[in-house]
Parts: sequence; C-alpha cells; structure tokens
Amino acid sequence: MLEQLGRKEDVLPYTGKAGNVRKKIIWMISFSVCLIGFIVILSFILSNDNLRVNNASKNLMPSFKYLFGTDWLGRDMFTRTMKGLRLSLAVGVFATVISVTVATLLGTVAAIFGKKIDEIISWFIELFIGMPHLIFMILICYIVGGGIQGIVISVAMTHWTSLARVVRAEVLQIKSAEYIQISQSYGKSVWYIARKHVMPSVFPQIMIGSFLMFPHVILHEASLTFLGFGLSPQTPAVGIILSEAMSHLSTGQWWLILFPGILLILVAKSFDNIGEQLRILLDPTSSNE
Amino acid sequence: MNKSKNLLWNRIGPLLMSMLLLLVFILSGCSPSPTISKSPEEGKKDELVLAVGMADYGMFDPKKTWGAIGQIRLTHSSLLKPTKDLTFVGDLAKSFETSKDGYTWTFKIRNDAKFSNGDPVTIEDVLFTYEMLKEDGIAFDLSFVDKIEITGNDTIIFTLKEPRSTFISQLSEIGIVPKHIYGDNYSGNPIGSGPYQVTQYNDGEQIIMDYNPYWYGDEPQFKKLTFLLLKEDAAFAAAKAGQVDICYIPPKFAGQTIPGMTLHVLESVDSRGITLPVLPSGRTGNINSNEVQVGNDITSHLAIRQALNIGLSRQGIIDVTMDGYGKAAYSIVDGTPWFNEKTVIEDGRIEEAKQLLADAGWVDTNTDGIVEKDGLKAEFDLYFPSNDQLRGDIALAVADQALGLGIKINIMGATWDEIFVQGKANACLWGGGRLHPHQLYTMYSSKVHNKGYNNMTHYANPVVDDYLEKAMYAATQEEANKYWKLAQWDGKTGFSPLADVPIVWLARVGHLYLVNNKVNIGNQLMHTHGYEFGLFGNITEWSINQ
Repeated sequence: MLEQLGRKEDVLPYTGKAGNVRKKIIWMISFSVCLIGFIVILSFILSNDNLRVNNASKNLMPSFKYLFGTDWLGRDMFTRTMKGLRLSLAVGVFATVISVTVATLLGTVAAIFGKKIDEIISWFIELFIGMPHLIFMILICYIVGGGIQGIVISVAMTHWTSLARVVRAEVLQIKSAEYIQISQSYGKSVWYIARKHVMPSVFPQIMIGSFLMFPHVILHEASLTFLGFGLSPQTPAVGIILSEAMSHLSTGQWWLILFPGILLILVAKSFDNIGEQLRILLDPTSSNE
Repeated sequence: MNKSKNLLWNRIGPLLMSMLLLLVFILSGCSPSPTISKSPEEGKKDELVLAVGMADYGMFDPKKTWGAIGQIRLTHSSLLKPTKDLTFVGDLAKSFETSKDGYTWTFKIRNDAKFSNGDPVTIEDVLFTYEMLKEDGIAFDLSFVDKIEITGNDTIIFTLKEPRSTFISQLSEIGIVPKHIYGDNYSGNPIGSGPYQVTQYNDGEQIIMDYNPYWYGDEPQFKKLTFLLLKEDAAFAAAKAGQVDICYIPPKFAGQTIPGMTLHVLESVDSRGITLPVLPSGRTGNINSNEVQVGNDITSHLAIRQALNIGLSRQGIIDVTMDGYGKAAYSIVDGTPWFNEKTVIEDGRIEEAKQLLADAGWVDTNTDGIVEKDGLKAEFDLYFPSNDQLRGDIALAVADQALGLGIKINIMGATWDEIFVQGKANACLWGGGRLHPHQLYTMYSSKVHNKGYNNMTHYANPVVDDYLEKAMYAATQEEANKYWKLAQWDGKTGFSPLADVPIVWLARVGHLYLVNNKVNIGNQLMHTHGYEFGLFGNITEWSINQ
C-alpha cells in the first residue's frame, strides 16, 4: 500500500488520498456518461415495431426476449422504457438549456446593471421561487396548451431561479475584485467586462449548476407526464408508463412499474453524479474535502 | 474480511429479520380478515357489498340525467319499464294506450305505489316530474311534448306536437320524484319509489341503500346494498381481499381469478366506434353551442371510410384491447330489435380495402407506406379522452391496423373539452348505446346538426333523413323498427357499413363483473353505455345460490 502511494506521489503533486478521489471521480463520471449514452443509443436502435400492439405477446413476464416484459397490449416494455427515457432526456436538455440561458442572463444583468435592475430581477426570482414548483408547472403547462412544448416551457420557466441567484452572487463578488475595478478605470465598457472578465470565472458555476439542474428537470418532466399533462397517453414517456402501470399493480404485473422506475432513478442519479463530481473537480475550495 | 462480514451480519441481521416479519404481517393483513362477517357459511345473507364503479355523475336526480343510461331501477320507478326482449311494459302505469295517430299517450297509474318516506306517489308527482324536465330541457329532450294534463286522480295524458316513437323509452328512463320534497339538493336526500332508498350517500366514498318497505313490487332478497365508490384497480384489490360481493372489472383484469367469485360476461349495446367527418374542411358549426371547425379533407372521402370499414379487423381489435370480451359492432344498436342484421359485413379484408383505395385514386407514390391522392396524404387525427384507457387502447389498435392499409392515423389523447372543440374536424373515438333507438336519430339525422354534440360527422343523406323522420313519427314500435332498419340500409343507401359509414362502429364492450358464487344475479337485461347501475335492472330477481 505504502509503495503504491509512494509511486503516486511521483506523478501527482497531491497526497495519495486525493489521487484516489480523482480516480474515483473519473470512474463515476465515465460510468454515468456510459449509462446515459447507452440508453440514448439503444433508444435509437430499438425498432418502433416493438411498440405495435400484439395480441400474441400480452402481459408477459420479463424474459430474454422481453427484458422488461410486455404490457397489456403486447408492447415491449424495454423499448417503451428506452424511448420514454430518450424523450425525458430530450425534454431535459432542452429545458435545461433554456433555464441556464435565462439564469445566466438575468443573474449577470442583475449583478452588473445597477441597483434598480437588480431589485427588479431579485423580486422576480423571489416571485418564482415563492410558488410551489409542481403547481406552477401545471399552471404554465395548461396555459401554454399542453404537449411537449408545454412541458418544456413550464419546466424551463420554473427551474432557472436558484441558478440565477448563484450567478448573481458570483458576479457581484467578482465585480468588487480589484482587476475589474482596474479594467473599469481603463474605461472598458460594461459588456467588455461582462464578456472578458466575469463570464470566464462564472462559467464553471453555470456548468455545474446546469448538470445539477438536470435530474430535477427530468423528475419534474416525469411527474408532469405522470399526472397526465400535455402528452397523449400512448406517447412513450416515463411518467405516462408509470401512471399507466399503476392500474395494473393490483393484478400483479410488477415489471410494468419496477424497471422503468429504477431506470428513471438511475438516469436522474447519473446526472446528479456527473454534476456533483464536476463540482468537486472544478471547485478549488472543495478539492481538499 | 470474513469476520467483519459476520459482524455486519450480526448487526444488520436482526433488523432485516424484523423487517421481514413486519412485511409478512402486513401482507397477511391484506388477505381476507376474519372480522369481515360475510363468510358464505353464515346462512341467511341479505346484504351485498358492491364495487361497480365511481358513480360520480347525475346522482339520483333526473334533472342531472339520472336515468339516461338505465340507472333508476334501484331507487326510482317510472311510468314504463323495459323487458328482456326490449319491449316496454307498465311500471307505475297500470295501463297505457297510444292513439292511432301517435299524438296522444294516456297512462293510468297504480294507486299502491309509495315513496320511501311513506307518501303515496300521486298523479301530481308524475305531472310535476315531467313538467320540470320539459322546462329544463337539458337532461331529457321533451320539446316535442305539447301539453301534459291530468284527469281524475290517476290519469295523465301527454299530447305531442308530433308523433315520437322514441318517447316510449324516455317514459322508462324518467324516474318520478316527489313534488313536495324535490329541490336543488335532491341529490343529497333522494326520495324515490324504487325498491331501495338511499340511506347514506358520501360523494366519492360510498352509497348505502336499504330496502324501501313501501316498495310495491316483489320483495328483493337483499335488504341492504353498500356501494363502495372505488376505481377499477382499487375495486379489484378489494375483491381480491374478499371484501366485496360484486366487482366491476375492465377486460384487462379478466384473466385474473379470485376464489369464490365467478366472472360474468354480460352482453351490452355499449358500443365504440370512430366518427369520420363526412364534409371537406373549411366550414364551421357548433358543438354544445361553441363555434368549431367542421370537416376533414381525408375522412370526407368515402373510399377512406369504406377502406377502414372493411379493412379493420373488428375481432382483432377486440382481442387485443378487451382480451376478447366484446362483440363486433356494425352499428350502435347491434343485437336490438331495431338493428338491421343485413348490415353485418365481413371485415379484415385488407387486400380488398387496398384495392378500393387504389380504385378511388389513393396510391402510394412516394413509397412511404401511406397512400396519397392529388398530393394529399391519407393522414388524419383521431381524438380520444385520455382518461379512458379502453378508448385509448382501441385508438392505438385502430391506428396500428390502419397503417397496414396505407392510412396514417395520429392518435391524440385529449380532455373532453378539447374533443368538443376538435371533434367535428377530426375523427373521434365515440361511444354510446341505449336500450332504445333514439341515438340513431341523434347521430345520423341532418335535423340535429349543430345541436349539442349530436351528429358529429355532419352526415346528411335525404333518403336516410326521410326514414329517420318516419321512424320517429311511427305510431307503433313495429312500424318504427321497420324504418330504423331501412335508414341503416334500404338496399341502395344508408348509414350502415354497406353504404356511407360516417361512423365506423367497431365493438360492443362486454361488461365484466366478478360475482360471489353465492349470489345469483338472475337473467340480466342487455346492458347500456355505462356499467355502474346496469346490473341492477332486475334486482328483485336476485337470489342466493344454495
């Protein structure tokens, strides 16, 4: 053991323990990325024919042919789950990109453009935070008229707030740094400072924030579809699969709910994991934890 | 390593064991517990616990459509009642006669009928009920009634503006309410003159009915009925736990068996089909007095409708969505005396359907599997209520089969509000079925365009209209039935699968109940749309199996 540590010390300037942590982080990130990549690839490979109703293969237990079993219309649950997760991921990516953009813009603007604007934006953030997520999302989804766009908009509209706060605080802190003041005294414009000085230091925060937002977004997407907002019941979405399976629990078809549920958790946890590990990697203050 | 594992086991083991024990305990709690006193050995059984649906609309009040789908037999009585062969006999009416021209209907009511509070059912109550509903005009359409008069203390005379053969069925659907008690909160304290009285009603929880001691008919075997208002899966779980005597189950649960209970598959006219707008797009009309788009450029082609009609396999749809517990339907009235049996066709003829499309100019030119004509792709939307899983499943099966014919159907789950906006410009998964032929008129006559959600396809055929009017004006049932049948198919035209098919009817849903082996539910009437109370039409005939 000690020998190993000794050798590590030659390569890395850190202690052996830190090296293990770093290795672990890389492993965990690659595992998570592989899992998500695997699901995405599978969802494209698997044929839509597996989703056709089929009288011959109704209500089958999981087997080698049907890994996750089949439902009451003879559709392959493995295909449904994979395609459902892909939908969740797509909605997740889309909604996250929108949220992060909004959060970055508003957070930066609030911190840089003076007190009045800061007050207005902070008020908005508080307004959005003050409302319960799910109810707010249902409301927006309903107003927008449902469908995938309804889900994307409602999720995007509700998830930007906490990240915007983080960005705002970060920018405020950087703003008072000396090099910014020097830059200002050189007569650089606000936009120049925002682009050249502020963004580079805030970027890691934004990236981590967006990864950590992802599982939230996916779970909220699943709960919206679970409650039946927006999507047609036959769309393969994880929430719909789970809500449909609910009524089959009393007949003992446990596989309809178990595998999709576990996979949803795994995917959400994978993203959380990536974000968390990235945070440890990128955030200098936590590197000694 | 081994030692540490043992240590771990020593610590966690007891915890695991206790959790396992707890689990076993909980699970055993779910099985029939001895405290429920409904063991078959008990001897005299005069109570039933029922889980036959949510029963959440129109409760007990005719003004809220109570009776429209055959619910009233438990709590109310009506002037007439249907028999098993779908003729009508007197219930409250001791005798009745119709004038030869069909304008005047005269009823003499029995004088021994009493409401569950002991008050006699008087001719005044009958008059009040009908006038109230006529004025309301929403739950029951009585607009064709000119005046209602009473003579003496037991005779009521309806004079109609025009003869109306389907009036007879309304006479069996309208439950008589007491004039001096009826009010806005009648649902909360419904007093009727049926075999049972509602002693407790908790909306969304349960209904308790006790025998009405003043009931004038045969005394029922079961003196107390407790309805548990449960969803399908909860009802099934309750049946599994041995807590209910009769449980409605959807077809997808039919494969399950519960000891001590038998599956009863009851025939119904509860039909499902798809409405296909017959007009091309670009018009407007009304659904429930809202202005909506009317017409669809694809379904307005007869070839498309006929291809679906002969190409879809009705039995295939029934097998996959209802586990076979249904019957193929060719109209909304299959199996009734007013169904034209000549209109039963052989379906699932995929090649013929494709040929039919090709002959009409629908050809797949770009080899995407979907046929086109004049640059128009054979693709349309099919709406269904997203909270109705059976309709969703049927829609899915239809879309799946249609693809094999070269027709692309996009299924759209929606709320009823949305369907009542989109329903005249798109296909809908429609349902219905009554023990009378009036729906043939409301679904196919051009006279009812833009009224309520009647005739969703905007079908209009002058020949059919003529037959429908004649059927409505007929003075006798036999004559009416003759015209109802001609409207479906007269050898040249009609709305049946042989001709215009504005609605492709697919299946009659079997109504499935798990019934305690000890309970004999008698010889059932054919069930209508809506399964909750259809079972109880013959409640007085129910008995205990020895």
